[in-house]
Amino acid sequence: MTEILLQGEKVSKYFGGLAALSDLTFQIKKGEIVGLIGPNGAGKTTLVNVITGLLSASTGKIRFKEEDITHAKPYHIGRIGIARTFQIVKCFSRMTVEENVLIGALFGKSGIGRTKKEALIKVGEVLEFVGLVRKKDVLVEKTTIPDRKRMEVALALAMEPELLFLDEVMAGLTPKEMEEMMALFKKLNRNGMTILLIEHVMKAIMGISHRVITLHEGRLIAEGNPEEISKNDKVIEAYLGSRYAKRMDGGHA
Amino acid sequence: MFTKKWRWISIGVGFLFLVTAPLFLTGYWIRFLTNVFMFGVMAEGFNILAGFCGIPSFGNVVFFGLGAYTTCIFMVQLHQPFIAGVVAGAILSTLFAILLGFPILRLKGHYFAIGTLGLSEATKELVTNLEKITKGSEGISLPVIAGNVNVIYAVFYFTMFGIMISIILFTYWMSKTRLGYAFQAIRSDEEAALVTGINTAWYKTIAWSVCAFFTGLVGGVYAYWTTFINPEGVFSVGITVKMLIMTILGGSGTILGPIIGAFIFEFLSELAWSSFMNVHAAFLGLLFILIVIFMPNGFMQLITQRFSLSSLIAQIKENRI
Repeated sequence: MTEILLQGEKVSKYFGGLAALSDLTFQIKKGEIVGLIGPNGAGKTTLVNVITGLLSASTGKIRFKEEDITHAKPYHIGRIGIARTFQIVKCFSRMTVEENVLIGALFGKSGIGRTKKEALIKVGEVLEFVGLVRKKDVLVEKTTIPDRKRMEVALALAMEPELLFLDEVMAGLTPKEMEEMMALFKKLNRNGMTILLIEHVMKAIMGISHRVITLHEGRLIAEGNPEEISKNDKVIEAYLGSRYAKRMDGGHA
Repeated sequence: MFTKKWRWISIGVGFLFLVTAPLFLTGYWIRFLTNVFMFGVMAEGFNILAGFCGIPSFGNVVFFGLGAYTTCIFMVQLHQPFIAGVVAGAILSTLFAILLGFPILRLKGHYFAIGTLGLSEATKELVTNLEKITKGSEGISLPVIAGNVNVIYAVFYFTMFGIMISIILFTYWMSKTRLGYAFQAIRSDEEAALVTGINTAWYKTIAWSVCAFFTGLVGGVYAYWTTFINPEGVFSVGITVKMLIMTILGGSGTILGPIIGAFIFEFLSELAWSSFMNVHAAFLGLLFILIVIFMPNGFMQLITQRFSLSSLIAQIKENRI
């Protein structure tokens, strides 16, 4: 049996009376690429924020390997092996691409025991992997959006995570750039990285995910392989609205 | 405009000038420069906190006042030597920062600024009302050192100069290490810093304590130098404002910026005093507004970047208009 890396049990998050997440139970196994989809406002980013500790779960339990991380601090979660990117790219301003990635290498999993020199070696490897070596001395403000997204992935990788959350990394990319990104993620996964890919564009996720989890209004409405999900009535309804889904049904019949 | 080589040469020349200055400058200018060094240290301390770590404190003067009062009380009430007083002042300021850092550093942005302002005002009131120890709003006089005035001036000159060099070296070292990277990450995005594995509360407390240590240190030296302090003087909000202006003027988040800012500020205000006695505050204010509009990144920009009219115009367009 493959090892379960991350496990959520009946996780809920309330903002006042609003349930942003309700009773979510999920698992991510080692070596998987899991897609997390759902229409706008489904709770995808909230879930990632709760797992990474930026928000605290109202009820429920989250485990990473053997450790209960439900109420752990974000920096602790970062150090034990979960790294993430942000929907709206966050990078450290007034620094070069290399310095940004260096921060990941200095504070991530093996960061604290590392000298700056050792960290820079790691940075070199990661930049090589994502294809940014030539731009390492460019100030982050002067990079293009696709490069910045790659850099954010590089920063997360420099932390040497076991589980990587990618929050809408495809948004704003051209189809060609999207393909390059997907190729990068496949390569990462082949090297053993477990990935949770959060997208609201279904197309981007279907090609590379082994399994897809669908959220709608904070609830888990479907889970399965991409093909099952794309045919699932509840998913189609959530994305297109019930009336349109019925019409599509009628058309096919 | 400046190549790296020229930058090091000018730093060298400046250093030599300042080291030999007491040999040829009059007492007035030595006191003037001592004051510049003192504010240079405070501005650099503010810079470590606000410029590098992105925490805009409006109460930094509290450490200056605490350093000054601790030194005073050690010397006058406890009859201890000056060195003991200064060290105690710096340590007390640092402890104060650590203890209050954990609650107050949780505040963000404007709230932190207001909180720190409140903290320094509250501490001033506390010191004013602890009359038995501090002699209240009357202030305390310190023992005057006997001896040649010029030698005494030179001693304080080199003490302040030494502290200034120490904080510059510290900032330089910090900017190249884990500490500096953590600070800069927090400045640009605290959430991103957190998930990258940075214990932001811990690093913010370090930034605040370092700033408190140096500010407390010069506070203690200042007390012995002027030989008289009162709460209104050493806890004045105006001192915090000066740290802020000097840092912005020179270039926040740079190593030498705040020091250069301190020099420029003190020279300009000296000029304003001597030439526009009655309207000196208005003149100074106008000048700073112009500088901030035309050089929002401070004077360091002139040195570190190629400077031309077109880049200046681009700068103004980008930042202000």
